[in-house]
Amino acid sequence: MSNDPIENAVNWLDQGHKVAIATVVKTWGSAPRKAGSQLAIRDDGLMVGSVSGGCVEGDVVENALEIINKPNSVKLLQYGITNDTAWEVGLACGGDIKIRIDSIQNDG
Amino acid sequence: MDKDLLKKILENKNKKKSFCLISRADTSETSLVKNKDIEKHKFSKLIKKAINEDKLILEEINGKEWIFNPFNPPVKLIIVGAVHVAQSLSIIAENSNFDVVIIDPREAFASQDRFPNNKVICAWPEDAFREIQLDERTAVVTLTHEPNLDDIALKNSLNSKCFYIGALGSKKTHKKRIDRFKQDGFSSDALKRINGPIGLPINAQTPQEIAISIMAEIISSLRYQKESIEELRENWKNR
Repeated sequence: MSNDPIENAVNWLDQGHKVAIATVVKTWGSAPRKAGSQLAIRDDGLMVGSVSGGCVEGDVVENALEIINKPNSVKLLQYGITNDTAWEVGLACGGDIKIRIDSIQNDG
Repeated sequence: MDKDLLKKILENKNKKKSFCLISRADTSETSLVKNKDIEKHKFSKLIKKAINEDKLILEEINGKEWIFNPFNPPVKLIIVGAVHVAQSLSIIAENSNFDVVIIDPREAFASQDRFPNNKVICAWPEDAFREIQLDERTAVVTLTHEPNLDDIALKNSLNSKCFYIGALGSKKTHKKRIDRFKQDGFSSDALKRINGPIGLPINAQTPQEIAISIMAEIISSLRYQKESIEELRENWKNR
């Protein structure tokens, strides 16, 4: 199986799943994955790719599942040491990241 | 974003050409701009910057945030010499998302069994290099120790834009190589592009460790600006 988030997302859509894609759009400081890194999320919570070193993926998946039933919606998330959630989800690496989640419209 | 666009992204990734996705940060509207359409695009400057630096750009334009997400084909690694080090190097490189090609005219070495996941070309470098494009996203490594095999590959690389050239061999071997190449008309400056002895100095002992030191050097060439890498290497040497 490929590790490519886009390839997996397309396969999942073909199988009838709902899918969202998270993309790192900005980083400050020592963020573990550079801007452009992607994570594909399936409606049952399965994920491929990464947007951090595993620090925030759990929270990103939760947020993705919230919009996964609303195709063509986007959500912007920001994690950093100034943000309480960052500590809760464990972004202790000292970086800040901004992530955009896209829910994909499955039009057949 | 819809499934059609996602499929288009996948198709273009598989074609191994550069392209860019453009979207507003707060809406789902996304468009795909192919390499050939960049010049006439209203944001051509930012698209080019994103692609050249291989880095997503988030930019505020007239009070609205735009995302420029570049996709570039994988970096290529050409290994001349299907030797023991090449077996380890091909695995590490593949794992780091490089497209790996191995070249060796010796059948016993260039066997697909030794490199199950990579393209193996059993041919002399001058023939093999005719079907491979050495561009700015290509690294070339020579591992045979045989001047008649390595030299052709190195000369082809010096005449190309590839971002990394490395040659296995001791300081003595490398000095002899440099002398040979100078006689063939290559300038000292041009020859500085060859990393020899190959690899970052981590005191590697085994073929596997040598592969790691080579891979580390290739990645440093890919990720550092040219000036800082020369400084970095000086510091390494003087450690």
